[in-house]
Amino acid sequence: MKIKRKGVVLVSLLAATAMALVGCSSPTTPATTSGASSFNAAIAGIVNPSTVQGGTVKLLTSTDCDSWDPQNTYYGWCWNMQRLFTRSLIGYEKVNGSKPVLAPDLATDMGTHNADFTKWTYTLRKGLKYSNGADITPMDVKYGVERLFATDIINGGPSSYFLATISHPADYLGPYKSGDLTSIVTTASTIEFNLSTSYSDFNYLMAMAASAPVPYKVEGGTGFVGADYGKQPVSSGPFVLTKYVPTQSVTFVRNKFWKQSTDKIRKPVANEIDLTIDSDENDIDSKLSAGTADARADLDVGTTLKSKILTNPKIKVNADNPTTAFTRYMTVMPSVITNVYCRQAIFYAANKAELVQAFGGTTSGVVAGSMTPPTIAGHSASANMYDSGKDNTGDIAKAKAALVKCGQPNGFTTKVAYSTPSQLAPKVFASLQTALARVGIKVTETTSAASSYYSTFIGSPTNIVNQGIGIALAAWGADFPTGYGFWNSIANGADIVPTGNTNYPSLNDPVINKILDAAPNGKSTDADFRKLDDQVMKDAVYLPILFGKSLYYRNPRLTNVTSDNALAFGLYDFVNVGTGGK
Amino acid sequence: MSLPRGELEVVGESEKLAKKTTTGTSIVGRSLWSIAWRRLRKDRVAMAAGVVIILLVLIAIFADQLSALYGQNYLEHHAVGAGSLLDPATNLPTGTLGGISASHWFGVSPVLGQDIMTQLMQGARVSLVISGLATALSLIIGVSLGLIAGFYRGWVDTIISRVMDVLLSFPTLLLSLSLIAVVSILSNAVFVRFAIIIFVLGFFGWPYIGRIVRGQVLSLREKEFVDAARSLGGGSGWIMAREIMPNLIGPILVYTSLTIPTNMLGEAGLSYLGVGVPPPIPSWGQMLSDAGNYFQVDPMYLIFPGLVIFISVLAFNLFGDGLRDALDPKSTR
Repeated sequence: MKIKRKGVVLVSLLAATAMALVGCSSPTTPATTSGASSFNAAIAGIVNPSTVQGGTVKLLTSTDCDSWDPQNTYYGWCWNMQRLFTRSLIGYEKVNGSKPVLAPDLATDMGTHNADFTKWTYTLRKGLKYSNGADITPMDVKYGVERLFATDIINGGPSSYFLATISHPADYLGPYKSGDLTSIVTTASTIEFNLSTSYSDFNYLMAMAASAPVPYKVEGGTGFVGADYGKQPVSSGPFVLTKYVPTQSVTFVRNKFWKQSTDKIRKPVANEIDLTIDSDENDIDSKLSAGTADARADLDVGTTLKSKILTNPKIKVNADNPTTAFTRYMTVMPSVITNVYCRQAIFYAANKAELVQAFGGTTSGVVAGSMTPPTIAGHSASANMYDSGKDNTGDIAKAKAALVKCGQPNGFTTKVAYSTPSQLAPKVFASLQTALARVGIKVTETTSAASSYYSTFIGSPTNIVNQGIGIALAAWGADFPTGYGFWNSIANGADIVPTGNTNYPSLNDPVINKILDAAPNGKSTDADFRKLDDQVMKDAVYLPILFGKSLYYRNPRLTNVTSDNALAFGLYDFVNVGTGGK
Repeated sequence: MSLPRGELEVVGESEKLAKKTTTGTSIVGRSLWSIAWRRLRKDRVAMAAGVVIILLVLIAIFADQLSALYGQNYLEHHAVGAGSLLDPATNLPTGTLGGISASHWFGVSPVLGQDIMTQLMQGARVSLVISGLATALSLIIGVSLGLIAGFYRGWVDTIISRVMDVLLSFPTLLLSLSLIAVVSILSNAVFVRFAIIIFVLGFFGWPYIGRIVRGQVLSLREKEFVDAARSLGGGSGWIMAREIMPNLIGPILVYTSLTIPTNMLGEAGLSYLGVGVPPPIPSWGQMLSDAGNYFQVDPMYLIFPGLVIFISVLAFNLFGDGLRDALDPKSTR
């Protein structure tokens, strides 16, 4: 999932199946503790629960969404906003805490699948209507998914998951050019997906905004080109996007055709939600402190408000600092630094505590001992194969010993890659440079524009070797919280491609591949993923730095506030938020 | 610059010849330079500015030694562990006024806790090297082409003047940004980054001095001493080098002292925009840019680099003004 953060854009593409069928099997658990405002109260609980209806929630964001078209958006915060006005067959019933829970949304149940997870069937609820009064039909769900195949127009969303799983002719280009897709079969009330591969995590795909229904062949008006749908998307959720001024503001009001009786996931109370785009971070901070805005919809608070929150206990009670499901790490390239002990020397010498500082301090992350972040299967708080010393400032003795084993006792020289422009990355580089110099490893920087960094710079194994990139900064968050969703794109040897490669070190380890290949059939357990994590660390290609944390602020007047850890890195789940009627 | 006859001599070879024959015993004609130096010495503001400039140059030259004396290293981080000077959560310097203390006179930077004073000393080096070399490049191109254009006139002048017009109408900043971005893709070596910044600042600065020189030469070439030199058989090159050039020293000096601060700001601007010298080499503009992110919570981090840039640019400008007054008291500001 792309997250917009000062510095790094996380992109994860092309995951597939996973271990446990959390969605299919787990009974719905009620929301956990709830109550008055205190620091971190919204992470797992609901702050100021209230059923008082009405009022206008005022949100701020520093940038517009990549798109408001449900099939064409990939930013985590935009997926969170999609919850306001789009529904899909499956949804997240519980988004807070460390274990998100899926539940049927437009569908009556969690769907049924055949034994090898290649055929999934869902039944739609009765009485579902769009904001224009028309009925929501299985044809519309099918049409929405078909749009993902029109990659010439719909090219910003998580299409790759759907292209890799749903059976389709090689030349199928979506409903605009190629008509209907025969592998998705609909009746008056049911829809059946036929997959080209086993995919036990399919419900996670059905819970993405990308699988939301789009009115069959009426979207976009003239010519059905689809490109303009994001300007005035039809709503299936409790709110409807009524006024959209690109790069300025978005207004949502209640959808009068939405009925609480058909929706078990959302319990909206507000009448209106206004999102204002304000590119001045300091202005956002001061509006939040003054209470003239209720929350920030896209990112952490800025440095000014952060400082106020951390120094003033009265303000701190209205803030949350959740740990979120992404890992910042450094890829140490085995194609450039071929000796595993030389790579280990980097692991031991890095000053993780200072790197956390460089990434924004202890409110921006906690030192990571292994790659798997909390909320993902296989996470272990104690796993730390390359202990970096007492204060996590690096273990110089072990680093030097590793250098001796590598045959380079005086260190070596290599290059560190990061994307620009970035406020944080130069500091991260400076920290790494200083830390590695302690054992004689000299590094120089090599940078690339953010637009090409992941695709052709470190996403091309050939370029890595040609440029001699020994270390590359990266961050990774899964698009859905399963072990397979997290690991497959960054560790499966079968997924190495010439450009746009997400397995930057070209890791191709049979132990890892075996676990990942068994996962789509539901055959890999949590213990397998723990083993996988250990194996990745043994290979010494991914140096984990931190598990991401974010600092958010909620206006004390807001009711029903809780974190969305499933879709949006702990941003508040705005669909249920109210203002006490004001 | 045409100089008043009564007060100072025009330094041309033929005039020197003439002078030798008429030099009296009691009245010694003062040279242009001694007269200018007398005026300059009386200008207290310019002298103070000159002292600041000399100090700045000394600091830049001896940055490493001064840092060692003061006991800090600009590369050292004080971010974590026992010697940390930062609050781990807010990332800001602990203590008052951005962590000012006996061992860190200007405090430390947020995030990595680097000593600001030693960073500024290193930054002075970057700033002076880049602005100095860029100014030299402007001068070399500008003076030679201005001289040629003004001396030969005609189609040579037309071509050079049009080129200057075109360069002056370029959106220089945008062009520099894209040029640096493109070159950075090809090579990221420190040397290349320095070279490209110097080239961009220097190359787009030459038409300014070029125009001034051309104007001067257009009037100088009509002077009697030039006619005299020509009638004595002096070739074009000789006349340009020996007759005209010495009369251009004044304006060139003044222009140099005013271009250096412009280029300092240019370098700071490019660094501010993230296309300056690569880290960990400190640069004033880069520090200012970084400090902008913390100006509400750690204003001292913004104030010190800001002050240093302000003082340096002001010193060069005041000195340049003083120099101009000294060389040409008739000119108006």
